[in-house]
Amino acid sequence: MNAIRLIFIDAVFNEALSQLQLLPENVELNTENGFSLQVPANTKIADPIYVYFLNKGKNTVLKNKIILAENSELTLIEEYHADHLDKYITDVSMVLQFGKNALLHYAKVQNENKKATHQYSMQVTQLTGSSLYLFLTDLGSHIAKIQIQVNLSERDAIFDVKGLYFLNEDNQYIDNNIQVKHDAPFSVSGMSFKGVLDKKSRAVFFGKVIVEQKAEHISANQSNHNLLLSSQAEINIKPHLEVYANEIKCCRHGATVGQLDKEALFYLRSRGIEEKMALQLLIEGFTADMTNQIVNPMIRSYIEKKVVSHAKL
Amino acid sequence: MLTIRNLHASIQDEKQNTKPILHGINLDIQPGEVHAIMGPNGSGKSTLANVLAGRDHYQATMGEIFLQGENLLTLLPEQRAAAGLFLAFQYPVEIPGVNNMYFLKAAVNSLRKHRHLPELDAMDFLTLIKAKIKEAKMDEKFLHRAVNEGFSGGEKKRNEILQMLMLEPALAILDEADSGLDIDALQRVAEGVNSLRNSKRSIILITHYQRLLNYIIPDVVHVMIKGKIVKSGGKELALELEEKGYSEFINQVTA
Repeated sequence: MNAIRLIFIDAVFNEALSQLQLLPENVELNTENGFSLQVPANTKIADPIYVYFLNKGKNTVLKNKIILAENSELTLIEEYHADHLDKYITDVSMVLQFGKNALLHYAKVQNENKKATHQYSMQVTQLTGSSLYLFLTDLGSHIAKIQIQVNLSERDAIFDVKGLYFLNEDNQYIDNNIQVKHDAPFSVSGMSFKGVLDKKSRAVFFGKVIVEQKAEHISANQSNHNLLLSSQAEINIKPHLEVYANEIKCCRHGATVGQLDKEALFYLRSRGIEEKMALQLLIEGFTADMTNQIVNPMIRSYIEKKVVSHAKL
Repeated sequence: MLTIRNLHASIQDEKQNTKPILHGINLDIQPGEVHAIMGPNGSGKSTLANVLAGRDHYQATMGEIFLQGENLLTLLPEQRAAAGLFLAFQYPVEIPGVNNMYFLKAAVNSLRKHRHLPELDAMDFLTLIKAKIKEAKMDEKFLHRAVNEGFSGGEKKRNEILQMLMLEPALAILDEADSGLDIDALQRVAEGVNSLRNSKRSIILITHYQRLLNYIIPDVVHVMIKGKIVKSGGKELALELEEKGYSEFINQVTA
């Protein structure tokens, strides 16, 4: 991947491993307690920025921030990883501020170790015509708690979050809590998630959309589909919609929980494909329509690789 | 090629009740032979196909099956495929999200692995599949779609034929290959099957109607009634059945 690398080890910026020289000069970067980026007006950063947080054993608190001025554009991939198997906590707060017509393609890959606690809270404010395409991939951690609050405060703002979560250990837990407030007309929001749960793992999904009275003609959609590989896995889904506006375009939500298709599994095996690989193909098939929807091709291929290598049983 | 001795089999339903279906099947198929198994609905034809392929809940309770010397009943479905068995499904399964080409590559390379052959790389595979898809008279666009998803009945059956051409089984079993097909689609499927006929490969055609046998001429025809083969003969037996129906045989069994 052709990207501008920013590396943090136990929350401390590592300049030697990073590529500050590739960052356009007019972009302001602060690397204390996380990263803070400011992209000035009318600046489109061509190469994606790749921010890598490696944990080597310490509990870390990160305060990240991205400010996109008017008409600016950025693609960013943020990844969390550990090089050990001990317990630790990652606590992240992220603030995103969008100027008019600013655009951000943003992928977050949570690949912490299976004992980690990952807490993530994100605050988003979007002005007229700005767009955020967010993709969350949760592959690791013992506990993951993700909280996102979005304020679509001006018209035509678009917030689109998609996500995949994979849980494959007893007592592994993920909680996605996403709240979107439509405060302006013609704003658009979408939340679409898929989860694969095995063993005695548990997932919670809470998606809340508030449509204020003045926010007419908005559109808000939600979907959540889950594949349970074990009878002990559990998913709790709670879509929540509060509409005060009189006229809205559509506000749909759908949720499903299903098991692996045994007929499909037999079909694949009858063609000589071993059970383990057949399972993997079916899981990949289940998640593929999610990754296929990633708008940014660079992010799409990066996430596809991550998901495929993770799904290898 | 295939030897079935005194095979008894049951189906288990969701409530774990078992229902005996096959009551002592004996069958010998030599390399290169095409056998048709005909019978009315519920006679156990498809059960036999599923027992051979190793589907869950289809339990052989007595007897034995040997394919090229291998004891089939001890093998997993994927091992049976590796041993040379291929079942063309009556109702091919739709698998959303799994690309047809990706699936075929996984299948071809799995079988090669079982047979201790090197896996085909992307280029060799592409060359092979482009040749085979022409043979199956399918459009290349089907390779880029999800397995069977949204395919018409005829397209699904042709996709089974494509898989068969790719996997080159020693024994192909076609379960109601003609069901739901119009004459054009039926002819294409038959062409595909006929192109696979050779002195080393055996084929079992499971069919309710004689129609398919106009296009794929069998060497031997068996009549199955209530889980037993009640008569075997040459291809003329199929015509006799078409004329007289199964009632004569059913009466024989129940008498």
